[in-house]
Amino acid sequence: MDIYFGILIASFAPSLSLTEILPFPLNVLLGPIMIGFGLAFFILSKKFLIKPRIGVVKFGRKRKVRKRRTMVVLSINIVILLILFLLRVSDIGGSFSLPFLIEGYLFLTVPLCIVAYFLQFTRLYIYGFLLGSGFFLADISSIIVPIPYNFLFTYLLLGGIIVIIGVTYLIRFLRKYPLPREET
Amino acid sequence: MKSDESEGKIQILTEINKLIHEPARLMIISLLYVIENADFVWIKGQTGLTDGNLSSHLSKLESAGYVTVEKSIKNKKTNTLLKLSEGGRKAFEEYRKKLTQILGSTDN
Repeated sequence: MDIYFGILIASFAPSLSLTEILPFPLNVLLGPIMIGFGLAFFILSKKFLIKPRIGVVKFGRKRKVRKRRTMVVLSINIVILLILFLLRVSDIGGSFSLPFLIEGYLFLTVPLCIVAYFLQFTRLYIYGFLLGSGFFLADISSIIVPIPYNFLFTYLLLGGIIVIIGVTYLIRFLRKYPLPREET
Repeated sequence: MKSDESEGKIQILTEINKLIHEPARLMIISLLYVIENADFVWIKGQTGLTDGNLSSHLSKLESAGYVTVEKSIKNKKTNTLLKLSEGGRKAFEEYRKKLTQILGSTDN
């Protein structure tokens, strides 16, 4: 999950900074290709690494209720954020604009923290903050990295950090749960 | 009078479901009670029992009709799916009720 999320964040990099530089269709396809690669890694690792080691479980009613609650809260949150976003881009909002850091936290960190809370996935809080800080960090890094490569630098760095955390957890998991012998 | 009362409470102990009361089987049933179903590997990982031990306890629970066991072949490997039956659910609830009753009566 962490590795997939890291690749997902890193895939923002080409879309945000290489669109004008790379030749067509690579400029458009590089982001989706990276997302596809991440998704394939997620599905394959779940099938071949995780399931054979820890088995399969279908959780009961409590977990389903929590999942439903997450979806409801997240939907409400998305609607609120969408309204804020529309206000931001339309004339209705007038001079309504927020600094990069607040925008990042509002539109990315808050939804991810809600998901982290309901799924009880603690690391997602950290990833939410990293992702939310992305635009702000890209803005700051433009001092040392020329525009538009600042986005490439920031999102590859953030994605890279998350992938490294994910790989560390994966290695620990593989060590902790060796492949069991076939059941009797 | 008090002696009769405590005798009655102690007698409930003899009515307790011994098939569920065994620690390993209690672990298995408690796990299956809170989920919909799970495979052998997951239950084994959660309980820490060995393959043989878990198989033997599952056979007993299956014979009593408390657990349903579905075997299938997935990627040339045996996959055993376990689920608590309706009878098993009721038996566990009954067991829990009796145990609470007994433990509740142990106050001085």
